[in-house]
Formats: sequence, C-alpha cells, structure tokens
Amino acid sequence: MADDQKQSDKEMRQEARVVSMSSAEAAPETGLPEEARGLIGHQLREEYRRVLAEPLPDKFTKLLEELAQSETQPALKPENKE
Amino acid sequence: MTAGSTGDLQSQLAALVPNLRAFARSLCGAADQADDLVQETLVKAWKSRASFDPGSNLKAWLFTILRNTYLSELRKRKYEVQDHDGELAQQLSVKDSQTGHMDLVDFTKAFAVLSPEQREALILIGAEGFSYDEAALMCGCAVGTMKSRVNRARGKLAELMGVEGAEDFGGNQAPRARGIAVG
Repeated sequence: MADDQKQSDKEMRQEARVVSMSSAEAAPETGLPEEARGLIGHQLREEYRRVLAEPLPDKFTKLLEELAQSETQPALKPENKE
Repeated sequence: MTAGSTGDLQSQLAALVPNLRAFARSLCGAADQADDLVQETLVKAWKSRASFDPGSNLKAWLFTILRNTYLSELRKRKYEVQDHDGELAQQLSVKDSQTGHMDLVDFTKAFAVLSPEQREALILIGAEGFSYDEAALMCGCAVGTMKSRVNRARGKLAELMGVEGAEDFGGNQAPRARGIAVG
C-alpha cells in the first residue's frame, strides 16, 4: 500500500510536469505520432471486441440463476472493501 | 435495491458478462483464470447488491469489484501468469546481441508485458470508453495518475511494437502471438 502511494505520488509529479509543458486535453504527451496512437487504439479495440464476441459458456447463466434463487437470504452488507 | 428488482439485476448482470470476461482476460491473460475471476465478481456483486445505487453505472461498479478482486488476489498469491509475464518482459528487454535492436513483437505480446495497472488503464479508457474521471474513480487513483498510466502504456506498446516513428508502420507482425485472448 505504501509503495502504491509512493508510486502514485511519483506519477502525480510526472503528470504535473507534463501538464505544465502541454495543456492539451487528449493526452498527446507521449510524443507518439498520431498514426502510432491510432494503430495501438485500433488493435486494442479489435482484440477486446474479439473476446466480447466469444460465445458465453453456460456456467455464467447457471451461476446467475443460482444466485437469484438464493434470494430468500437477505443481501449481505458490502464486503468487497478490504 | 428492492426485492422486486432481483430479476432486473439478474438480466442486467447477464448482459454485462461479456464485458466482464473481456476485461478479466485483459487483466490476467489466461481464459480459465479470467472466467473464475468473473464468477467471483458476480457472486460478490450479488451479495453486496444492496450497496449498489441503481442510479449509478452498473458496469463501472462491476468492473471495480473485478479489478479489486484481481489486484488483491495478485498481491496475496501472485497469479501464475504474472511470473510468465515477468519472464516475457525480461526476454523482451534483452536486446539482440548482434544488431543491438530490440526484437519487435505484435500487439497481444506487447500488451502482456504491461503492468496490470497499465493494462486496466488502457482497456478502461481505450476499449470501454470510460472517461479519465470515471476510470480514476474505479481504480482509486488520481485522474493525473490515470492519464500517465495510459500514456506510459501507449509509449511502451509503441516501443515494443516498433511504431514510435511514423516511418515504422507495417510489416511488424510477429508470427507467434501470445496475448490477452490466448488461453
């Protein structure tokens, strides 16, 4: 956690420096040519869409049905904060 | 959330499972591990559904649960794929001894080298279309941190793929891909 914080602080400082050099919003601070960013963005979305389009295994539908059937139990308090 | 909306929530969750799977796959690489992560996310989401504000973004809420689950697992006992990525990163960082150039790789291979934080930043912003503000909120970091993660991730990909200069385009596809969609 402490390391994370340190890391974030470092990133913040870097970001601050970058912002002071360029006020543009679309984050072109990497200095990458537009084509490179376009190519990376395109391949990222293509790869993501490929997984999105995969047929869904039955186990997910089954799990959701089981969860809905366990409805008699009251919803628990949030527990995903660690 | 009222009892009457149980069916609604069930179908809303079902509709978002493909996105959860794609996000999970981007984070942990291996398909079976990703699916386990999605199942765990669905169970957690269901149990804590009372804490979800129906007026807010369900996808953002679910993605937050998923990435928190993944990252805390990662800290606890390191998913196997991470060691794998570590090796890969090391391999990729070794320059060719004769030419002094780094071997160029394709997108999926390069993507796997990024840190989990960089991968999630790129996916949330670049593939899912969340705003920097939303993504920062989901990942519990500053907006500036989110921007710099995305920038560094893009820079790293460009470096590994050899597309840093405009003249570098085309013909850089490595034949053996291992990446976010490969089990």
